[in-house]
Amino acid sequence: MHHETPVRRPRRRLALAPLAALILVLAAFAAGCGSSDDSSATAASGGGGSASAPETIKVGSFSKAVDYAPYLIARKKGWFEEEFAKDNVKLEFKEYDSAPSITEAFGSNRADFVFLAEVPALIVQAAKIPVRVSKISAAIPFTAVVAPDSDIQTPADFKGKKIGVLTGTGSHYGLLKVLSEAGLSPGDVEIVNLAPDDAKAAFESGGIDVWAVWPPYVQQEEVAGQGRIVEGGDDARIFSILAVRGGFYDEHPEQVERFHAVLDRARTWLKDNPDEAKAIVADELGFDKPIIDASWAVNDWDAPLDEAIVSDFQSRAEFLKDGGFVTRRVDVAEENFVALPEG
Amino acid sequence: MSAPLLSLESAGTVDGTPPRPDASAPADVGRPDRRSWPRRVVVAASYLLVPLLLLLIWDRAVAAGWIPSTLIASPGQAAEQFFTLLREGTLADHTRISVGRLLQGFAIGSLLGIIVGTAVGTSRVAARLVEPTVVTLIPIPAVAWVPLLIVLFGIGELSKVLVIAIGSFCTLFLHTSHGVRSADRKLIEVAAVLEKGRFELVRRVLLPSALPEIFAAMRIAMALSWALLIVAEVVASSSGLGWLIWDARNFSRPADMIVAMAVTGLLGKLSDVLLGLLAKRVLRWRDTYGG
Repeated sequence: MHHETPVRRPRRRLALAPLAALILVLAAFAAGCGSSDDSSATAASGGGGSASAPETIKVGSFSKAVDYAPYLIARKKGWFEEEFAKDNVKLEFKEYDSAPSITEAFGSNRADFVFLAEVPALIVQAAKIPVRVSKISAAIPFTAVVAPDSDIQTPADFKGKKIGVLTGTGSHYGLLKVLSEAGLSPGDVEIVNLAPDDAKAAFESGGIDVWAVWPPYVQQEEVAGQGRIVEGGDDARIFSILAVRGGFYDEHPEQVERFHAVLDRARTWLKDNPDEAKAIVADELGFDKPIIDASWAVNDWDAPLDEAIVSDFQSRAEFLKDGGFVTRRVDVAEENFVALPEG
Repeated sequence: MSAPLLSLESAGTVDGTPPRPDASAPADVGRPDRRSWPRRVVVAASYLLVPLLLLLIWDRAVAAGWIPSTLIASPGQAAEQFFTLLREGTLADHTRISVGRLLQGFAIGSLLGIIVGTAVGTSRVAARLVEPTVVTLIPIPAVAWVPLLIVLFGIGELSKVLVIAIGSFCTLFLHTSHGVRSADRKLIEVAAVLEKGRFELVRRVLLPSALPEIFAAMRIAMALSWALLIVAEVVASSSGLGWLIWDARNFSRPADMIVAMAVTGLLGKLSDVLLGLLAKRVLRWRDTYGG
């Protein structure tokens, strides 16, 4: 069509074609606008509840973390396969390296169970993709690592420093929380978004003063003599949780129960066999055993999923909305974001 | 004298092919006096057709649920959010920061590329010294330098500007050295007859005859710079349009994401148009000056 324009003598009938097409497009727009509201609602609510077992269960985890130990151990020991082989259900395992890929996987039904922290799960929920927090793997304190000879002793000393953190994680929330508790605002520091691998390089080369991250990354620096750990208080705790896709939770309650049973078995086992457990976690994550040894004690494997968690998560949901991070305020209780155990 | 000048003139138009398809477009609009207004409406319609068609498909796809509306915003939502971000000043802040990084990187890289490219194109010694190294480094995608630059120069403006500078340098280096080398031999002979020195030769003959290719390369480098800017701002950043795209995706703010993408695209287009106009102006001046 483009070559028509430079021609000196206009061939009117042909030249009018784009105009006619444009009018058609505009008409289609006008016709479409009226009906655009109703159809979007139906897209979100997918499928009716068929009680039959799924063919495959898609399990994932976000980045690498020691607090995934119950999952890592059960996976290594083949306990998931053992449990679900009875129904001929296959399992797929996947590691996600960014929060949005998890949101997108949940949104397109490509993930059923994902191990992550409560903040990324809240972000998924805020995107109107229903998920349920049905289990806590562990509760861990907020940790950050600074250079061994740094003058930073407490979070109050973060003022004016360059801080690397993967945004949208529990560590990001924890960081903003400890800053506000120390009377600092996010504007008092420079927060740089860095995934663990990039952050490690930046931290070790002095590109950032503080690296807010979870175990085993903090302990890796400590064990290597390259870092000193700064801890946050109870309100900045991070919960390592299991998020279940809402549709899966509603359709396959039996599979969810059995998945939980496998995790409970692993939790009991790891407390009875800590040394072997640490060795498995070291192997699965690809970290040296001494780093995992150093990371072990901070995990509270018995953190309960109870009413207190609901209100704690609600305050995190408010925080995400008020900070302008997400577009929607999640109502944790109303939306059944936390699936409290019965009884 | 007139023969070489003629060939220089023709070099200007023949080598200037990359800018042409686009350059001809404003020319059509720029001569309204020759056309009746219905004709102009038809011309405008043919420009708007494809963008509007794409918008329509996108809008329908979101509305009909073919793509999840929680992850991808509709054009309407994006337009609404555009004005919100504009009012809040967020968009202006991020845009200013991004454009600053882009212009610095592009200017440093292009200038160095032209200087080194000219040196390599004119001097065998310089070519032997520099060319093998540079040509080996060029195939490394500028993006791959990001982790290295962060370690070497830290997380700050410098490493972001440098990524863009590397991309621009590579493009301008290749095209300038090629442009200088493909100068018309007859022109060089004339310069020799007139006993012009090497500097004069470069300034009056080699660089002008390479200018069309240099400008074409600058437009390629500019497009590449936008791509590199967005990548650089995603890796270790807290501001800029690339950061906004990443942050919006990270926290599932699909409208913000589309706005930042659209602004990037439109600014990229604007920078290309401006470079095209500049090229036209500079090359036209060459012609009139020569004539």
